[in-house]
Amino acid sequence: MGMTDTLLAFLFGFFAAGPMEQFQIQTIIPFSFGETDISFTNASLWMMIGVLTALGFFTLATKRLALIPGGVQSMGEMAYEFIANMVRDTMGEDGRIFFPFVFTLFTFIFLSNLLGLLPSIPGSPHELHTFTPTSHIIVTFSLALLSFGLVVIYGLFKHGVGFLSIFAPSGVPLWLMPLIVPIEIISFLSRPVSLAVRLFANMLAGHVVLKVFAGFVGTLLTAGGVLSVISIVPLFGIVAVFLLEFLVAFLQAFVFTILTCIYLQDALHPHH
Amino acid sequence: MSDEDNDRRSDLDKLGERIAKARGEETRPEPGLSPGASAGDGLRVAVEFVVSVLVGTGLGYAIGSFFGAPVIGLIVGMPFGFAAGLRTVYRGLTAGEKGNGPDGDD
Repeated sequence: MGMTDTLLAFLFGFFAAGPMEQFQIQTIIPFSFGETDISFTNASLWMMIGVLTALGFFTLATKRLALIPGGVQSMGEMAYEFIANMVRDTMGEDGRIFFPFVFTLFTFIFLSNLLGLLPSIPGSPHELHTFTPTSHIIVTFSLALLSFGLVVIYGLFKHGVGFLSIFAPSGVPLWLMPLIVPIEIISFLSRPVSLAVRLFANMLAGHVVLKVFAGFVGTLLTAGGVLSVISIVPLFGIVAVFLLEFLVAFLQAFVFTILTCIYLQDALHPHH
Repeated sequence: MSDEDNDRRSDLDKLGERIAKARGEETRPEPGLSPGASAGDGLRVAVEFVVSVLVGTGLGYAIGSFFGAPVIGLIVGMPFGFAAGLRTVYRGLTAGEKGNGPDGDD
């Protein structure tokens, strides 16, 4: 017990924030449209940073195209080929019209997830702290509704009433239809919800776990004695979870896009 | 053929070998049935099931409210949601066997 302990207690007391505080929406530039609040917030800021990063990266990647690609160009090509293969494998050749949409979706989700893992600049105001837009269900649900809306609109546009045949699996006797059709409709409607919930829950949980572990380090360190020594354990935990989060950031973007592809496949070919 | 040519040829061969080796190393790990992937599958399926039940119940409630009997809608909607959940789970798990479903995620 001494001055260092007091200092540590002060520092951690000063910086300690609840695990959910990182998800608070902070208004940066207040702005309203009639009654609706459409302020520029930290969520808007980090979505914009994500879009600008994508823009910057692909501008760099396509700036000086060489036959033998350099570092940035080959990364860009890898991203292109990864999504192009995904689209081809799930939807076939005529799925190519959806490539721009799927590519944009993947890039946006992946960069939102990844940039949210950047550490905040120490001492910066709360409004400018690192923020993960995909940790908010309204963001993921909007993205899911976009995919879902595209499936429904394209399906109806391309196949007309025939698109509704996805609700009536072939080989089902007619008397079972009143049971099967509502079940298929509910199953269809639950797709965007589960799509949104999965991405949101993964991002939220990851960041909460990181924060809780960080809280353990602070509390143990200031407890003194043996407990201070043990504080190294959650510290390594943070490193492990942080590395895992990189995998999750990629995996969840991948899962979101591949499920979108699989659903779009229904719009392309509703008859199985 | 000069010595230089031979040298280049053997360099190319070595590079080819190295690429082949690296490819082999890349493709070796089978993403089959690691506990992590299975847990991820389970979690995915659990989310889908719960969401289906909730959507079915909510839809039943909404339709019931529209006809002035929300409770009946709720009671009818929930088993339909349950059935839809089972349908989604079944489809999700069998699609993976055919190799066209998403693999190991959570």
